[in-house]
Amino acid sequence: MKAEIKTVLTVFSIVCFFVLAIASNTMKHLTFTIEGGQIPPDFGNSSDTLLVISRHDYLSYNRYLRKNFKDYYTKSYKLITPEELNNYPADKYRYCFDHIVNHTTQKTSTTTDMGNGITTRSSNTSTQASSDIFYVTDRKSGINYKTGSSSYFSKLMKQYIQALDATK
Amino acid sequence: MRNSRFFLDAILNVIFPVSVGGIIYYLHTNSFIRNHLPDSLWAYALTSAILIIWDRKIHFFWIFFVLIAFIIFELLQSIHILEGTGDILDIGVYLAFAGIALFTNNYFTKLRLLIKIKPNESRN
Repeated sequence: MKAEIKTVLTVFSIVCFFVLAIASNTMKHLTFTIEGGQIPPDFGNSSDTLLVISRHDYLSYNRYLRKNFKDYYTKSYKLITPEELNNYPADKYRYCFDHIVNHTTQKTSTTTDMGNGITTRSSNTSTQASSDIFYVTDRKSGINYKTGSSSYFSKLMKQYIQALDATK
Repeated sequence: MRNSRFFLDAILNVIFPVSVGGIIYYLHTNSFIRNHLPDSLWAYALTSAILIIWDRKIHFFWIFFVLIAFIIFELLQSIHILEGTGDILDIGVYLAFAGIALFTNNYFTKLRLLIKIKPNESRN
């Protein structure tokens, strides 16, 4: 085999392997099972109303939350604010759906030459929401059953809600 | 015959590990095995693929490139540019299994040479 063909084959192999790894990582984060620890073991047997915490972490979060629960969750649920949670006793409302936002902090430094031998430095730190984790808390035991993190929060939320709905 | 050797080597060291990794991934085994063994077999298979393409001679540029790519891949996951969870243990696992592929390279080179050439194929 010529060296050029080998090089092409090498690049092709590397690309294929990394595409495979990215695809499997995406699937790994969209797999929700009781065995995998993303769904509480008794979730399917419970007839309790699921409490769903609405938040204002970013503008579209509540819109997607409402839409996904309306479209994909056929059991009983109730949208509440975090402050209202204590009004609902754990023995009647055992499970609670919520999410965590992971943030990435970026620091930018700028150096400006003033022209007379003096330089000024300024730095700016910005924090952005980068990925989400969804979870269901068993309020009786206090255990959180979490998904993996994903930057595609609506997709992750939708798939998780569908999996919760399908749990028997 | 060279093609047969090439494909046998590829089946044993690339397709087989990737397939086993895929099966482990879909089986609900314990989470440590499920999270790390498919990744390690993937790293072994990719390193082996490069060795096989270059006739099992170590091509330093591409091997170094792949080792760096493993590290960058995990870093991109840790800063949430790529899907997944960045994990220093994953980097260790990738490098260890790439090391195994490199370490067993001589063995598979000898094994390739042991495959007998049929008389009618040796003339080609």
